[in-house]
Amino acid sequence: MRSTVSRFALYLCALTFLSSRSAAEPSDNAYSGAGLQLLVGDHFEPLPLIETKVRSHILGFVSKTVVTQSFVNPYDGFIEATYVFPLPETAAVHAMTMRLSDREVKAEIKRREEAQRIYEEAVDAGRTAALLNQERPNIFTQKVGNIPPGERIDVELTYVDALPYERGLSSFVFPTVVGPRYIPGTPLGGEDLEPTGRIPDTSVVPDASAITPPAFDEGELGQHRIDIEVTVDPGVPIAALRSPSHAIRIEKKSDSLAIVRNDASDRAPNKDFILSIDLRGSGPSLTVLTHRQGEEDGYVTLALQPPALPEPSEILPKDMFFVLDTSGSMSGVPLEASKALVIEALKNLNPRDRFTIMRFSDNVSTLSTKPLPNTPQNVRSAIEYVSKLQGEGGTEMLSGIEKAIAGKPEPGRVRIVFFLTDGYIGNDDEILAAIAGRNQAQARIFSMGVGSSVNRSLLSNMARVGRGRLAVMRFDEPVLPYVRRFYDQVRSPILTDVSLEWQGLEISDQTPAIVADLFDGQPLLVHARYEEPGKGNLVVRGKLGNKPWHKVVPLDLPHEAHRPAIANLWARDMIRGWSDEEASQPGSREDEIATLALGHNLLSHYTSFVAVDRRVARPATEPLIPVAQRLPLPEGVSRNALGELSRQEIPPGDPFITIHAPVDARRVTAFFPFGLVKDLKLDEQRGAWRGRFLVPAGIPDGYYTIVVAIETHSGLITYHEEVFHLDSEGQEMIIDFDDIELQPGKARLFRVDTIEAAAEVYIHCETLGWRRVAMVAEPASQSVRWNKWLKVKRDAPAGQHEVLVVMRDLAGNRIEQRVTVTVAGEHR
Amino acid sequence: MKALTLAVALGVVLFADVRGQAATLRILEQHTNTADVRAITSYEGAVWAATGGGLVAYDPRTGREALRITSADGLAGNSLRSLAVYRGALLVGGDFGLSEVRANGLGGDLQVRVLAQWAERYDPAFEILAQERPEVLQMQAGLHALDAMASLPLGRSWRCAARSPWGVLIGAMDGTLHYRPGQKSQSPSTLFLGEPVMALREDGRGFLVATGNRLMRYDAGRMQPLVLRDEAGRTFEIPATALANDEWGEALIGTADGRLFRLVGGEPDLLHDGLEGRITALTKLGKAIFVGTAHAGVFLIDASGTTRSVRKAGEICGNHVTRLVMHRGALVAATFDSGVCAFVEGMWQSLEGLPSEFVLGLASDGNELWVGTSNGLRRFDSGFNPIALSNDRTPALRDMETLATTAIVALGTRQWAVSYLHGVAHVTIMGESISVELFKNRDGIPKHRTGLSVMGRRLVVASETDGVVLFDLSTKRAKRYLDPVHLPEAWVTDVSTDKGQLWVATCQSGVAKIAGEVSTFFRAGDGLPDERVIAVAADASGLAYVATLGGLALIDPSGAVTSFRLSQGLPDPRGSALLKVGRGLVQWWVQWWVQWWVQWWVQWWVQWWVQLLVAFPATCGGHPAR
Repeated sequence: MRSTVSRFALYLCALTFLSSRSAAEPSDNAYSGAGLQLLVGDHFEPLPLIETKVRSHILGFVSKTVVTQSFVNPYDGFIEATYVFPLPETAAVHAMTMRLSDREVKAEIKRREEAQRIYEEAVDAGRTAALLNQERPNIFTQKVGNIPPGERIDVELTYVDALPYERGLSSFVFPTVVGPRYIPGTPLGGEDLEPTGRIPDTSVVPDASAITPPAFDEGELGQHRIDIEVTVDPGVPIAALRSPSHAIRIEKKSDSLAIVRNDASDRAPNKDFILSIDLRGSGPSLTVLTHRQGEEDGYVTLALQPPALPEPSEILPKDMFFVLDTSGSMSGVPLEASKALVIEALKNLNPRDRFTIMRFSDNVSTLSTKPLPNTPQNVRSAIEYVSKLQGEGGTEMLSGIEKAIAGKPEPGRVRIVFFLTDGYIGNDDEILAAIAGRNQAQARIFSMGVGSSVNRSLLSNMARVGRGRLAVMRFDEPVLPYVRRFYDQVRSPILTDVSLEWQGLEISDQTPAIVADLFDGQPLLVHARYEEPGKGNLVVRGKLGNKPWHKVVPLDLPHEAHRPAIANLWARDMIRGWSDEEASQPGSREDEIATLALGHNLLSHYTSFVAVDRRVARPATEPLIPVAQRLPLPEGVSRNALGELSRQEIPPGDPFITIHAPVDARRVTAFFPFGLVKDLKLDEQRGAWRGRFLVPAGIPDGYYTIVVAIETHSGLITYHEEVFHLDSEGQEMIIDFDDIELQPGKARLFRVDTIEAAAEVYIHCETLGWRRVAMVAEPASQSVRWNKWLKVKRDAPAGQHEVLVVMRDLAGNRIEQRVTVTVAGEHR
Repeated sequence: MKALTLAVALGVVLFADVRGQAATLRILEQHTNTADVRAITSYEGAVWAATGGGLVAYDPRTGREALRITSADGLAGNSLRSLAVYRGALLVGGDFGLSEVRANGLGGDLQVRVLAQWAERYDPAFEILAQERPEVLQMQAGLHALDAMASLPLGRSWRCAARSPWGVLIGAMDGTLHYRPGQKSQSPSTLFLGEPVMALREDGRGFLVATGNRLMRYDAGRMQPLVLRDEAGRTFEIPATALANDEWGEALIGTADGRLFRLVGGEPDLLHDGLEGRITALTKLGKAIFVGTAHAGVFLIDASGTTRSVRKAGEICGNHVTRLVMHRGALVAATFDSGVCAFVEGMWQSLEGLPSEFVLGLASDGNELWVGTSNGLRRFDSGFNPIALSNDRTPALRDMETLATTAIVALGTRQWAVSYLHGVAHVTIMGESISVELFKNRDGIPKHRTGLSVMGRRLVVASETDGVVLFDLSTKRAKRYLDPVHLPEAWVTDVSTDKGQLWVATCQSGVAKIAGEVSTFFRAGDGLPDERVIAVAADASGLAYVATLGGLALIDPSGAVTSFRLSQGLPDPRGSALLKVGRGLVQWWVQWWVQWWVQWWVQWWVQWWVQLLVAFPATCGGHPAR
């Protein structure tokens, strides 16, 4: 009998890799050169960071991860290495150790300024030192100073985190690269700025240089590799393990214990590592973890899973209020992306949902005063209404808020207000007060900002107070998959009006203080502190659909329990909440945050880890060379190292799919969401498995995932996914020269806004002498704004002319619109 | 009255006859491929297989094909998905409708009729549950829904269903399992497996669920994997893809790697190993097991365990034909992903030696046949034997042997134009040597080329983004047709020329006829069945034959359009390739004159000499090489 896959052992095959391009030409920049190297004097040296080892142990739903960064100094002189890197936003970093060749130094947690001072003094004195700062909740800077020539220094960080759990899947994510960011504002300049960042500090982002590390050229990966090992020990049987991002190897120890490693061929640090853990059917509905030692306060973390089998009756019908900011600041991409989100949401409402749309700028207007039923006609009208919205005027957000949350709650329904705004207003407090105090409709507030410079503090506080969620979509993110992911989280509320009552237990500092609704597949995670051990009950109340629901959970908070991670998770969550509050009043919670962080040995925006070696390594006469570690550009959302499609944007057609699997695999089968199953064939010339598939004409547009199963020679089955966007229709354009008057002989800027990114836009009017005139995409508009200066010829006939405007989207769909322009006067 | 011959392909290629001003469609021949088996059942003492190329009945006594039924016989299309026996009839579900077959044994009367026809194509399988009443699942995201299935959760691509005494279990390709209890007091429930549900079967112990990579049992709300165990106690998944029951009700399981299992006492027991590829359907009749596969047709495993293929030899190599040419009197078909085959001596024979089975270009100059694939170009002689492309090893020829070739046209005897990654090559063969002149974008050749044709000394190049370019091979000058005056859109899928007229097929905007600087557009409003045009073929009389995604059309010199749709007898509305074989104006003239006198003779003669071959199915965006 041939061997086949062991019961829960799945792994992805190791694959080919994008090859790096040849090195770039050296430049005068001392930190550039060949992209892979550092110009030191007249020769090139490699960069110091050679390896990052990630060792994570997932116990239950809590992970403890040790990250070891290895720096090697290949130069003849002493260097100070700076490395900007990401960690999960919810990670609680609670320990750091610096390892030299023959000793190790444990880092201490200090206030940020104090840590900085200690570090600088140590480095000036020639001592080897390490400093870890938090720049953003998910961006950190590691500095290691006075690395001796030829020496290696390892810096080990430890953090704990709670794993998100959605739709029956738990996932472990380890981010590996900080992507390029849009930095607004005027450069501040200054003589003492260290050239460690790609973009200088600005008036709007004063620490821009700290969060914009230098990057390799596209395609170059550098020498740094990330070696990841995750021990999955959830305590219940594991149904499946898969990684959509990396080739992985799985070592199954038992039904409920497995070790996952990224394959040696897939260790470039240019994409986040994602491990999906499928516990479906065996995950507990309620998990309680505690920690207490001695006479100190204890900590409890509670994870409540919503029902994993949402019945139609459990899905509360929603009244969706889409509130769009159409002020002038939203013109262009932010507004177009907001409109795309609304349109996508309208197309995916549940059958019993209702909706209305409001816009606000100087004033507020609505599509309808009352929510409209979800019928095809209403949806069409709404899409038409949204498509025509334009950005202009001020931002009277308060009026919009008040209208959206006015009225009484309707039994059996939940009102969800989708706020789409950049949030740039002056009266944040008024907005929050209105949500907190005048939300008679008990609306849930979901706020979404578009762009990298939204008023995140306002949006996050709105979501927090409104028991909703926040999403910020970057300009560079594809709209529809982002929208779909966000909307998927919102569309099915399971448990609403959730409240917790701790009966007979001395609980304090519950976080989050206000518990959000539970949506389909998403768990509730609550942390709290308890002063005294004891037995009691936790009563979870809420509404399941229309009906009151409650669950009484007997709790026994122990005198002793050793899970220090729980304490760290609680503290981290408290700090997050304070940080959100602080966004509108910077520094207002500094002392609380710093005190808590110091008490729990946690890294935060106000506390840093610093480690200093006692020995003097660098003589005073030796210079110190600062070296900023370059990072590869993010790979993006596609998994091109493993597979690719000949087209990512597809009209109904017949693209190719290529999967890089072992040539001796028994089979490679692609499962398409529209029911097609294709066995791919080995293309010996390319050394890959290929297939060609036909997308039927009747399949609705949208994003689809192709699941590819690879059965290896030994019988193990592994999975890979490819996503494509089926797009058979173009979107209407917003043409700014419809029904205008033109002057002969005069030039004018013509502008066309396309809702989705366009491949080309052109104008054609024979009578005006414009023969298929191609327009030009505005830089940074993501190809949704197109301009062209055009001159009306002097002898153009007076009167009306029909102008044809044609757009072709990325999928090749062609949309044409005709507008009328009038040429003034009489020609000579 | 002109007699026209139009060949229309269903699953593959067929010859049809369109004659008279009323332009009725008559199917003359069909050539289909039955290697892709989707369902198998026994009915009236025979084993019936629903395939991608029609319905086939096998005689279990001889193990041979006894009957083949296609749309020509009254089926609603040839791309079939499911079978069920209901009230003495065999129900056949397919991409274009539901049909009923009534047979009285294999040699008896046969009646075929269409019960329901739909214009849209449903790729997911239909599962017909023939219990109290037939229920046909429509598994598109926008469910049109029938009967009790109307309340299924939306947004799923449902694929299969199974019924037990207590309820119905329905599976979808996105891994959704939906259970509907028989008792109204119980609520339906939905599970998310995360893997496609390929097959379901009830075996008295609950439901068996095949996901293509695992086999599971669903019972009383619990899902339990069924695995193999070796002596050391290690467990292995069963990549189940097909399920059936034997005569005792025990489950038969086919796998993705060609193995066959039987459940004995609820435990899997290997029956057979080594079948060719993925098993898609199973049935047992008497002591013989008929196994359908994804790519190799039906196999018979007899009582002794001997396995043999029962598929008829000589079928065309694939159901999706993308190009057609005549080469030395033989019809040659290039397919979507199954290589090239030629109809020789009454059988289809596959061409060997292609670097890839994804064929993108095909042309013959009467002496040689050139085949362009995703992995390069190959030459074949008049006997379909491969010839080396070049002995000179010039870079361009080396490249053409390995890089994707998107289009080929014969410019004359031993002269070719080849579109490949680096541009368009003008290839001239003189004796043993081959000269290549390469033209690139800087010479005026458009990018993203979709097709080639020839008009005198000018090469006609169709492009996905840049319209049509006429490139004079003598003067090296290019003339582009791109603006809205000449072309309705820039994405051109095919071109054909006749006597100075250029016919241009576009992806979404119909057909354009360009005569000098004058263009005439033909859109849906003019009678085209669909504006997504895949192929066009013109002849010297000024007629143009158009293959669209919605049917075929004929445009006469006056501009009148006659269309043929599904409702008018087409087995599949989507045309993917056209071939007109004839002798041009002389031919037509003779034919017309003769017709008055010897009509029956003309019919036969016309069929031989004036034939238009159309192949199915088709798409618009088909050229991957960039």
